[in-house]
Amino acid sequence: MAMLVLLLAVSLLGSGTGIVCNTKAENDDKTFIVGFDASFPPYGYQDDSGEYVGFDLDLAQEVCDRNGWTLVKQPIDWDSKDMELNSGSIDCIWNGFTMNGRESDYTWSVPYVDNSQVVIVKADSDIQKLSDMSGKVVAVQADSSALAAFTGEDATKENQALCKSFADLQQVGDYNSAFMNLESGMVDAICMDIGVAKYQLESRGAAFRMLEESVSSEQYGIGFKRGNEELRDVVQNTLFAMVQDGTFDAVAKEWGLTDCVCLADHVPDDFVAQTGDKKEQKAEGKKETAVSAENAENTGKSPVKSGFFSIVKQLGEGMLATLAIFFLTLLFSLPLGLLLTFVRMSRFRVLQWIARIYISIMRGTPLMLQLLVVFFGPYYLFHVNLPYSYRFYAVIIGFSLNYAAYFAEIFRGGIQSVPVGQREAASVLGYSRVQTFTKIIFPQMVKRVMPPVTNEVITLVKDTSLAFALAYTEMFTLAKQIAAAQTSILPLFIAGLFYYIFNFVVAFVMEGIEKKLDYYR
Amino acid sequence: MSGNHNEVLLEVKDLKKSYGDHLVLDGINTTISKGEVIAIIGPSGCGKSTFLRSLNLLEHPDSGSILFEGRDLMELISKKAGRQGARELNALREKIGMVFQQFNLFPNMTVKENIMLAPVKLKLLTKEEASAKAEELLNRVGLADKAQVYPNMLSGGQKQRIAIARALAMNPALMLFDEPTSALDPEMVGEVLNLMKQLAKDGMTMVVVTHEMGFAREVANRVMFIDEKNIMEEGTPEEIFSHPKNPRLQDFLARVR
Repeated sequence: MAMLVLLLAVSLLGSGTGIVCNTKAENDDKTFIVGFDASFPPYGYQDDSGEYVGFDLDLAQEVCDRNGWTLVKQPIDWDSKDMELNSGSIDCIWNGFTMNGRESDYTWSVPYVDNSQVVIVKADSDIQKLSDMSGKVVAVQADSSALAAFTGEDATKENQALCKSFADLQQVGDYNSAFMNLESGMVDAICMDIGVAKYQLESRGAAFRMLEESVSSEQYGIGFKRGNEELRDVVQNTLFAMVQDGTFDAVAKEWGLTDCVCLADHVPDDFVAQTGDKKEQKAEGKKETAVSAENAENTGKSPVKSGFFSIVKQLGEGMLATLAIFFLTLLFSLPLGLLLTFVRMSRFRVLQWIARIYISIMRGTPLMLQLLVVFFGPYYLFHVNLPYSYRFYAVIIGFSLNYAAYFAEIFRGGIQSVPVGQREAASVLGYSRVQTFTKIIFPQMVKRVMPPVTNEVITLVKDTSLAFALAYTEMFTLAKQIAAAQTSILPLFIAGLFYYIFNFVVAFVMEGIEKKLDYYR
Repeated sequence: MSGNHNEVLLEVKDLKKSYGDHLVLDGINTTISKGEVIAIIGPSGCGKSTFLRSLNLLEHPDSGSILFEGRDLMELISKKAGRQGARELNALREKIGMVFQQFNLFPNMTVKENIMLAPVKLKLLTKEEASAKAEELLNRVGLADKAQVYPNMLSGGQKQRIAIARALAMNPALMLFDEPTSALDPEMVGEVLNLMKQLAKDGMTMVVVTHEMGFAREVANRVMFIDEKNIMEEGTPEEIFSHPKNPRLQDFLARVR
């Protein structure tokens, strides 16, 4: 049994690094890593074949092709975007990224999309205009431009007043859950970017509608790390060239964003690309930037809802990632936990206290925070830039360090519960400390700790989803992305089913081991 | 009783032990010769188990000396002796077998493994020799058919007989028994005491802490009465049980009869 587990772990180690290699590119200047929130269609999301696609990603791909770079599409956890950018894990944030209110936080490209924050309500809602939202519960995405429009430093007076009139302003993780909230009546309205709103309305049909009035106008740009004008200029000039030869508009049309794009307004009059007639292109590219609800049906791409098995297939890579986290964490945390137990039970006071403090911290702080520290710590503490593949290692390191602390305490309890007479009997038979431990204490400890270890292992299966904090795309993150792209909650149910089946197997295996150890009492 | 009573095996000088502020043994002196069977009696909590457990240093006395085959065991646990001392102590302990009230068989091993493991591990015997020895010992304690079972399948009396066999596998020069029948159901006490009688007859040097006065009277050739942190009276079973001098001993015997 132990052999089987080990074999599985080793084979997964292989596939685990495989996942890393898939998205890993040579860490040289020819790589262009775009950070985006993978649940933000149509700018960047996962399609039903598991590819990351979107308007922004298509643009980025074209920019890379023209410069001879390799594009790396890196889905990030939106809340960690600044840490990702500052630590060099990504080169830019290109993801329907609102400039307004963030002007001095990044080195910006010129705006390329003019967007508005609009309000979505249920079709039968009594909310007709913005002022009707007084006393209502409104949802926005956490750290989104809609939130900034209401509560940001640069929020207009009208918006601030409007916000004050709400019964509550709730922040949700992604638009899929926002719509679930709206549909179930938990919130009365959602405020979001118009591009996203049109996509969502397109796929969700007549159950919702958009208010004609919009909350505030804002623009999207590409955010680079502050001071990185060099890269910004290269990307921006490539985009200008794309405007002039019509590529930009073709992409915009494909994604149904023709009404929103505004890059053409910002191409400098004296900009000369290698080819193409500027003025003609510009005239064609210039469009009305104001958008209204009627434009919703113009959206080019509409989401495809996949069936059960198709989603399972899409989730496949995420399942492998989850399994890799699970087995590698066990592989490292169990021996590490035992080592920690020895230190904790050492004769030396200093060592005892080091282990105690370590265990206290690891058990006393959230695993998610520990993961962030492991991943971003090297940069923020020591200004070390770690290779791209570190993301996966950081997940494994974080999980192993955390679980080792729990296992250490379980092992200690197991060792202490072996009657003292066992040690005395071994000692009068002339056994050394090491012999006593390996032959007498350890085998009995293993038997005693099986039930609590099983508990911990089952928790680990579910905890793997916390890897999203480092934007490591394990299954639950992937399920959320697919759910957002397809505006369906089926992927989440399938994810739940996977966890259940996984844990069912884990419980079955652990029970088998317990039974095997039942030959003595 | 057989055996040469002149050759000294163990000598205890001025042994003192306390737990915190509580003094348990206050300067015990005694000598144990080869072939002697000594029964230690006394009221509970009098320190008789502590004394016994001090003889092989399961309890570390505070001061005094314990000379076993001429070597002072107390020196081996001093800080100065270090790892070398610990190793030497382990080697000397192999010659002092011990049987516990709670048997302390290893539950994760079969009966035979319990007996074989220490001699093999410590390279006293090869696996084959140890196996033959284990079978011989199992015959001797009358449990040859239990070689392959795990301890939890045995009765208390059987467990204690196996524990005795395990101690004998090391060929000890001295056997310590710490209330070997106190945890047994009454109907099982007999089988264990009979085995111990047999051992005594074969000339084994034994120190037995016991509440079984019948056994002490019949088998021991010296009885020690420990109370008030010291040996209050000692002598032949006849002297102790028929002519007790110390009033506390008289009182104790009146109570246990």
